Amino acid sequence: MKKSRQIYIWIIIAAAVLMALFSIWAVRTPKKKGVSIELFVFKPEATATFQSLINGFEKQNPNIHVELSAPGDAYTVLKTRMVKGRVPDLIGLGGEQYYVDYAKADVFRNLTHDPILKQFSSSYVANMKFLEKSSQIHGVPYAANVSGVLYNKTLFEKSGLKIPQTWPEFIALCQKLKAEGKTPLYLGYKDDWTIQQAFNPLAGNLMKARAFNITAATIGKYDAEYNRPLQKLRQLGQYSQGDVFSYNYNDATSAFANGKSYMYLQGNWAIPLIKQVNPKINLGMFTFPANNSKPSKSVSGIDIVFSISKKTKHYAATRKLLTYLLAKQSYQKYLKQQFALSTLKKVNTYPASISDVVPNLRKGRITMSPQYMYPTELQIPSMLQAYLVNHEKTKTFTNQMNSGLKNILGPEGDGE
Amino acid sequence: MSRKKIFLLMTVPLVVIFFLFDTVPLLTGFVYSLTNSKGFGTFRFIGLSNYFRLFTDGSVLSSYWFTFKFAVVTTVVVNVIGILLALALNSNVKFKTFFRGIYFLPYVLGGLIVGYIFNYIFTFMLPSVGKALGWVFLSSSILGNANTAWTGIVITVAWQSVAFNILIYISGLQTIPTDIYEAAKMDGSSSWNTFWTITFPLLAPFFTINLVVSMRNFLMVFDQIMSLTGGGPASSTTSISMLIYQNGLSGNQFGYQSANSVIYFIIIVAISVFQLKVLNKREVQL
Repeated sequence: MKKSRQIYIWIIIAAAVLMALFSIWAVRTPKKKGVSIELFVFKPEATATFQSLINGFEKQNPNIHVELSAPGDAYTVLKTRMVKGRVPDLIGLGGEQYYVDYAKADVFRNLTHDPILKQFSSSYVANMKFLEKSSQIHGVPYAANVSGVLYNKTLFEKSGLKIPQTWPEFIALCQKLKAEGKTPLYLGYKDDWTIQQAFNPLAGNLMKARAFNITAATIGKYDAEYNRPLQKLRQLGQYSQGDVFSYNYNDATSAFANGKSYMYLQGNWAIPLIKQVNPKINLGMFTFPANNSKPSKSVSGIDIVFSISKKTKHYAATRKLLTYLLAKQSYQKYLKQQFALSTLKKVNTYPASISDVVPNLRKGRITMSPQYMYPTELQIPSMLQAYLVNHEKTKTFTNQMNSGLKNILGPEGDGE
Repeated sequence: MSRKKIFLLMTVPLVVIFFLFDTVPLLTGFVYSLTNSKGFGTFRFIGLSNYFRLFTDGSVLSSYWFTFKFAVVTTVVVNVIGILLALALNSNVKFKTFFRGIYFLPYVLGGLIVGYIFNYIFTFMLPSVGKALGWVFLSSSILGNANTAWTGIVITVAWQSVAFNILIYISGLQTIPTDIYEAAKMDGSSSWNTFWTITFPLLAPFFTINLVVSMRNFLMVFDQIMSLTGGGPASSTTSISMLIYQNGLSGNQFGYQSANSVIYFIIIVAISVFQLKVLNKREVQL
C-alpha cells in the first residue's frame, strides 16, 4: 500500500518535470518556418498600426515572421532585455536621451553612411546629429512630432475667440475665460512629464539655444536663462482647472476631449487618445505663444527613431522590414493613423488638425524639444514638478540641477 | 527509501533554488554597487564612492525619511485597528464568520488594483463630496498636495493590510483560556483592566509577529504607491524601493541604486533583528 502511493507521487513529479521541460522547448522553438525577427516599439498606442503594417509585410515576404512588442513601460522592459542579451532586431525609440544612451553603449548599428538616410529631409538628419552630440548616426528619424496648444474649435467659435499670437494676448484670453467662470487650460501635472509640454515651448523660445548644449564645461553657465521660462511656467497654473497635481495625463486628456477646457498643452500624439474619448471633437493646434512680442517657434522633435541592433542575426530581413515601413503607402498609413509628421522628403502632407502650426513647420521655424537634451539621470520632469509644488525659487531649481549634472557628467559620474 | 533521504531530496533542490535566485542576485547586486554601471554597456569599478554619494544625496535621504515615517505610522495604525477589530470579531456578535470573511477580503486583492480604486476615490469622489459640503480640506485631492499625499498612502495600505493583522490577533485571542477571564471577573476586574493585564500580555507573541511582519512589509511598500501617486507630487511619496526601481532601471543609475539597495537590505535586517530581540523579552508565558 505504502509502496504504491510512493510510485504515484514519483509519477506525478516526473510528469510535472516533463511538462515544464516541454513548455520551455515549445516556447523556444519558432512557430513558423523561415526567419523570425522582432520589432520593438516604445509606443503602445500605435500597436494596432504597426500590427497592420507587419501583416502587409508578412504577406509580401512569407519567409519572414515579425513579432511585435510594444510594452507599456518600454524603456524598463528594453533594459531588462539588454541585460539578458536578447536585443530585438529593429528597435523604435523616442528621439531622446534614452536612444542616445543606447547608441553610445554601442547597441545599435552605425547608419551614418547608410544610403537609407538620404530620403530624409536634411533638417531631421541634422537634428539626429545634434541629439547624439556627434557626427555619427545610429537610427533613422522615422517620424516627427509637434507640440503646442490643442484647442477646442467649437468652443473657440462659440465664444468668438481669436488665436493668440503673443504671450500677453494668450494671458488676456485666459483671463477673459477665467472671469467668465470657464477653464482655459486643463493640466495633468500628476504625471510629471506633462509639465514638459509647457516647459518645452517656453524654454525653447525664451532661452538661448546654447544653453541646451549640456556638458561638464557648461554647468551653471546659463542659470539666469531659466528665470523667464520658469516664471511663465508658474503663471500658467493660475489658468488651470486647479488642483493640478491630482490629475494625470489620462484624466486631463479625457477632460479636454469632453469639452471641460478650452485648451490643452500637448503634442500631436495626444490626438488619437482624444478622438477615442470623443470622436466628434473639432480640435486644432496652434503654436504656444511664448514670446512677448515677436512670433514664437513651434516645438518639434523626432517622434520615433528606428535603429537596427548590432547583434541581429537577420540583418537582411530586418533591413527589408525597415524599407517596407518607409515605403510611401505604409508610411502614409502610419502618419494618418498616428497624426504624425513626415520626415521624408517625398511626403509633404500634414494632418488637418494641426493646420495652424503648419506655416511654422514649412518655414522651418521650429525649436527642438529642450527635454530631449537633458541627461536621463537628471530626471528633469520631476525637478520641474518639485519647482511648482514647493514654490521653489529659480535659484533652488538651478542649484539642484547643477549638482545633479555634476554627479552625472563629473569624473565619478555614470555618463560621458 | 529512507526517511532521511526523502528529507534530503526535499531540501537540497530548495537550497539550490534559493541560492540561485536569492543569494546570487544579492552578490551580483553588491558587485554592481561598486561600479558606475548604467545597466547596459561598459562600466568600470569606482570603489565605494557610490556609498559616500548616497549619504549626501537629497533625493535618497528624503525617500528614507518618507519610508520610515510611512512605515512607523502605518504599523501603529494597523496594529491598533487590528487589535480592536480582532476583539470585536472574537466576541459573540451575529454573523461572526461572515464579518471575518468581509474583513479579510482586501488582503486577497492585489496592491495595484486597490491603489487604482483608492486613486479614483481620492481624486474624484472625495473632492466632489467635499465641494458639495463646503469642506475646504476635502475639496481637493489629498494626493495632489505634497504635504498630505503620504496620508493617502497610509490609508490605502492600512485598509488593505489590516486584514492580516486581524487574522493573527484573532488566532492569538483564541489561545487565551476562558477560565482566566472567569477568574478575573470573579475578582471584580473591570474590562479595561482585564484587557491591559490579561489580554494584552498574553497577546504579546502575536503582537511581536505583527509588528515585525508589518514593519518589514511597509518598509518595502511599492505597488500601492505606484498606482496612487507614482512617487509624486515632487517626489514626496517616493519610497526607497520605488526610488531604486525608478532611478536604477529607467533612470540609468544601476550601480548607484545597487549601492542603495545594499544599504537598505542591511537596515531592514538590523530592524528585524532588533524588533525580535527586544519584543521577545516582553512576552509572557502561561
